Amino acid sequence: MTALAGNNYGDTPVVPAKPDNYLTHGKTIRSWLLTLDHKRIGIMYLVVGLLAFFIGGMLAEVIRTQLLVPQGLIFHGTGSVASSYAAYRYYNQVFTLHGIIMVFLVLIPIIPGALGNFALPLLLGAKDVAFPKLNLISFYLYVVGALLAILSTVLGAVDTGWTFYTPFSIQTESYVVVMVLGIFLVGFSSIFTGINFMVTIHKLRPPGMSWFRMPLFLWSIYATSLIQVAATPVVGITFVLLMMERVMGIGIFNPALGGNPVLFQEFFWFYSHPAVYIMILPAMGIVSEIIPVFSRKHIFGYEFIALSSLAIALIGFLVWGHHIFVNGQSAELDAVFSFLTFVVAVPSAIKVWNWLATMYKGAIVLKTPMLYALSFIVLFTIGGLTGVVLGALSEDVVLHDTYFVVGHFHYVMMGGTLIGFIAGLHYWWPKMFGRMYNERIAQITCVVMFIGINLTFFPQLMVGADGMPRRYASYLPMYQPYMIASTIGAYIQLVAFLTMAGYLMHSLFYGKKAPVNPWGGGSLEWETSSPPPHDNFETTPSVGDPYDYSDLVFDAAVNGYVHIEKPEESLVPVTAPH
Amino acid sequence: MTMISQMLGHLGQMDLSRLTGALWLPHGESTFSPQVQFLWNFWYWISVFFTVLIVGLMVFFVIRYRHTKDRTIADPSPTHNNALEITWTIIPLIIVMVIFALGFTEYMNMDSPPANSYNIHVIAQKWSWTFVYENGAISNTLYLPVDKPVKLNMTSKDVLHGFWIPDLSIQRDVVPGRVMTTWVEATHPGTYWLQCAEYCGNGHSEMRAPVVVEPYPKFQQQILAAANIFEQDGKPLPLSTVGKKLYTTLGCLGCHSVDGSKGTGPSWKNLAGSKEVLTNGHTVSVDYAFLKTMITHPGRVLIKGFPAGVMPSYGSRFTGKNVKNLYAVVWYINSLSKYSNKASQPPVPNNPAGSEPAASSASGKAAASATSAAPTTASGAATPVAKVPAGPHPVPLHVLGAKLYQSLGCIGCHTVNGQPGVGPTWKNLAGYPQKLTTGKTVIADYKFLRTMILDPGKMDVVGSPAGVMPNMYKYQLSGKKHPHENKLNAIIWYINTLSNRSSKATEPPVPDVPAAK
Amino acid sequence: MTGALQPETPDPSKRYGGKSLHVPGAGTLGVSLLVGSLSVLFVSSLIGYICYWFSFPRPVRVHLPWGLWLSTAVLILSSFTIHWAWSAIRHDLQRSCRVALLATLILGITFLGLQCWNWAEIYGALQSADHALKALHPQYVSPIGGMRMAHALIYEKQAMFAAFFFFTVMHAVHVLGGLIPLGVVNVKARQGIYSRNYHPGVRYCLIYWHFLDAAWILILITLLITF
Repeated sequence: MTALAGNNYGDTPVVPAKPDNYLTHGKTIRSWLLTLDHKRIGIMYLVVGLLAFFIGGMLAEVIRTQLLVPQGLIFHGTGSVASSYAAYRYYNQVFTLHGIIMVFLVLIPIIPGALGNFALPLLLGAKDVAFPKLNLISFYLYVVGALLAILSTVLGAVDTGWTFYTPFSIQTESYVVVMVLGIFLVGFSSIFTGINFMVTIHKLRPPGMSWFRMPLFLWSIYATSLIQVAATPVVGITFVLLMMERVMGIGIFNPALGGNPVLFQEFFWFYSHPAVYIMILPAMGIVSEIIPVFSRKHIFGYEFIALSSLAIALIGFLVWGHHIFVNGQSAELDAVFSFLTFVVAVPSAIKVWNWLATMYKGAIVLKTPMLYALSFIVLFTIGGLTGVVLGALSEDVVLHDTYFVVGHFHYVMMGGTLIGFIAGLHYWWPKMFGRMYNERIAQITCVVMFIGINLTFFPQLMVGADGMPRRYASYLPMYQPYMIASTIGAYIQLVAFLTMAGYLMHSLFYGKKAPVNPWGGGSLEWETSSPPPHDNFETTPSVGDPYDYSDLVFDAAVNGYVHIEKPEESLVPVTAPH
Repeated sequence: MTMISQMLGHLGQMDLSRLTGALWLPHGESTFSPQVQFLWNFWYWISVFFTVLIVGLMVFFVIRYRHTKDRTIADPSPTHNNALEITWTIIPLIIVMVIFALGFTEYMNMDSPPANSYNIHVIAQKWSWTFVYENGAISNTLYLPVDKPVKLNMTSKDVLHGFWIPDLSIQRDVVPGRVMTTWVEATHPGTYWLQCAEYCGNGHSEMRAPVVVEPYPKFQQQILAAANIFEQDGKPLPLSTVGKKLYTTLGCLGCHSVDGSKGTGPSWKNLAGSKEVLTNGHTVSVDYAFLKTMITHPGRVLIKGFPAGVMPSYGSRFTGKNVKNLYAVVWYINSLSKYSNKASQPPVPNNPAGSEPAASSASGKAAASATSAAPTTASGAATPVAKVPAGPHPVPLHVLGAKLYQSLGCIGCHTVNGQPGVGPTWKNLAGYPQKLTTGKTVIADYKFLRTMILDPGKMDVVGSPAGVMPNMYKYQLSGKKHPHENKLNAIIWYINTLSNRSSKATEPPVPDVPAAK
Repeated sequence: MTGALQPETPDPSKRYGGKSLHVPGAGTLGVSLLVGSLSVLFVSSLIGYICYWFSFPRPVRVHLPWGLWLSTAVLILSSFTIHWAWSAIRHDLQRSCRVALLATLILGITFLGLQCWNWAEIYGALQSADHALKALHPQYVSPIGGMRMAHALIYEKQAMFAAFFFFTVMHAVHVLGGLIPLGVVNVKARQGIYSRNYHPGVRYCLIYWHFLDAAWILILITLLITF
């Protein structure tokens, strides 16, 4: 029986005789590939996203290995300058592919696609997202986009950098059009996902869950979706114009035909800067979920965290110019962008303070998700503060396009988004697959990962401030010590990731059975079984304060948290405002 | 093993002072540096403070409020506090606004070059930097004087490049199709690196140039020496040696190896005199004529196996007055080939001391013209720009015009030797009829030239792409700030000196040589 | 809470094992968001074009085909007919609704036909300019037909033509994309599925068609100013 064939699950929930969950509900390949179940689509996103992450990660290791020696360890010439340049082309293709895969196929879609799809309806107590078919279409657009990206690599790898700056991207002899077409489709996927999630949050909130009673992850997904819907069309049109430029020579971005290459940069960053917030906001949402659960304490400053997500999303639209301070736009315009850049830094700071205040007087459990959430706070703080100096105009002049920028955005993207994703993955893993992983090994891995990330990216900050530009296949010998340290860090990260893959795979087959509520979370996904049934909830969950843990106690018999009868006065009325 | 020994070797070269110096940033040897470093340090200590505060609080909470057997629930504490929220919103806001204000003021300074700046024209191309000085000298090393503001007018021949000198705290993108400017005043003599910061393709990471900062007199000597590549110590050099120099200066080495290894373009080793297959299937013998075509018109034919459209058009660098550069480079290519023969060699002998007297006697003059646009006056006498004294004597306007031709970036699009460029050549422009895209034909008189320079969008000459020429010259040459249009007249005088149909109608309304005081 | 998940009327496409998620208002909100997203697309590209135009003001006059006025009239008329269909079904006037929907469909197809004619017109103008140039300059390589522009003699005219094609084709693609669901809605209306209380398809088409109208007027104004 497949999911599409229909079943006996009606609107009246029936307690099944034998436990049936979404993983066992339909066993054919077709029941997976054509599923409309948000959980299965989430798992498929997870698989494709992790595959892309693996490829992008291995490319990163190639990059780091290349940079062990000044003239390049893997791609280098045979003595003459010309032969070096020909060899460096391969390095350029590697870092381009690393950037494109990581940004467009991993960082942007993975949290909304995998964790958002899985958790969003569960957090709402809903059966599915508002448009299940659109959800599946989004997924396949993403897959086709990814396949086109791979196709362009097979045909002749793109060497433009992930930013596709004109006129280089117009002149270079590689399959830019195919690659850009792939990203264009991924963009469509992103828009549809955004629309789907926004409508779901608007329309499928259960009675009693007012806007300010939603779990914070939903707020961050909502803000993310807003950016996806409003910003992605711009990059779509930019890439259409780029394709037309290459195929027909329309001349809008090509200075040889009188076009304006800076216009491309404006267009590109009008999307790609908000895209940075598409990447980081969901991760912040995950951290906002994890910190209170593992502090056993109500989140501090709920409204400020929720509204700061929206503030970041809205102001984030107005700061794209800070990527192009040195390209000759007017100084007055630079000043406006610089000012707004500093303004957008403040809501992020608010979140960090609120997370710390949540931990104050809590009962902090250092389980793996919490360790990753704490790593997030440290790494994101470093990433954010290094962003502040880049926003200062005179400092940007000496730091633009250096490894300082590389270090900064890797602290935010790797230390922020990916660590947030890993935290969320560990947090919802028992719910996703109904199995626990080895806690001790996971904790050690987290510490190793933290060391690896800092060892990789902190030297990059230093070497960049010292003047080493980014996207260099070879470099001046004086930068080598930093580069070696950075490469060692990258290898340590590789070890940590492989260990993680190992223990997670192990848990899939041999892990202990997960209880309904292993961490003691108060949001609705912890009300249903692990893994959840096809229809998510056998009985309609009742909506309370998602951050109220006073009625949850640990029960050693089930190895998880269970509800107890609460004292009468602490019951939160269902319809009362927060 | 070799890799490890290499790595250790480089570790030995490590300059520890760079690690411990000014908190990560290089020392900074320009007038911008103190301010940049002050703001950096300000930010740095604030960041250290907040990082320590956040991590410290976090670690303290984790230890103090840890979950134990006896302590399974949180202590009661409030879930919100508006006063606290406002405090930690306002304090970071004030701090970042201070950083913003400091960064902005210094940036405005970086954006406005002083009026008395020395002009250097920077030409960026894949993958080399070329610097053209006021005296017409060309070099691949950027020479800068100490304590004198230098304005850098930058153009790119192909794609985006980034002009980035970490030690002098300046950076600016070089956008093709427009003239980008920045300025710098170095404060200490020394040798630094200019690195390309904006990704530009295969050779991006090797696209750097040494920056030599010297006291002003020594700087002048350097650029005088750089102006003459055909001689050393007063003696003419063999052309193949000059060609070897040009191989580096003009950036040929970026694509063509000389040891037979594969590059973006064909290797020069054993190229001259050999047989090559073209993309159209023909096999040709690489003789002088073929090499000449490949260098001056790279798009015309293509050797099989190499990408099209990569080689920049060197245009005027190898033709007309500069044909000696072509001889030099072709001689150098011949010196690398075992197939070299009479047909593949240039029509002049390699050694200037040989039988051809023209080669040696012209070398001095050709050197100047190889590197600059030596203006020929109507009478035909060459004026080597390099030797124009900037003293109290009145300088003819056309000489100033020749300087402006470089410093304003006209050189990027207009040749002065009749070769086609992006824009019309200035050779025999004044006084000649010009066909407009509207179908009309007009004579290029003073009024026409003035309009074309100040308001290039007004009409377009057939044969030159419209919209390429920047329309900013009206602010630099005319308008309220320049009521006498002195510079504009200088340029038009210079154009007049390049034409054999120069007449009263084409000349500016002011005399070329100002009356002596 | 289950009440919120109940469909208003039985959903004929109830294939997904009891998980029918016909949420009231979800479709309208979804279509509105899609239209908002597409509006960003049109507005941003128009702004980009205007910036480009301002930095290179050209005195070249390219005459817009007069057929544009005709297609504009047709599109505005179709906006009225879809509005008529919507108000008809709200009063349960099935027949009027069907007629109005069919009229909208026909007007939409007519609009596309007129646009094709306009493209042919401007393509002809481009070609004659091209011929003239070829006569003048033997080395000139025509950019028409997808070939790269080897010589940029009339690039600015080229850019104007490119802009014209770009905006009108982009809009036409959206019209074409709208005609498909409109056809489906037409069929459904004939089957009598829609009623006074249940007519989501008509409402979605209404929102989308008004958007197409507004986008077209913006494009037309921009083209009139810049050409």
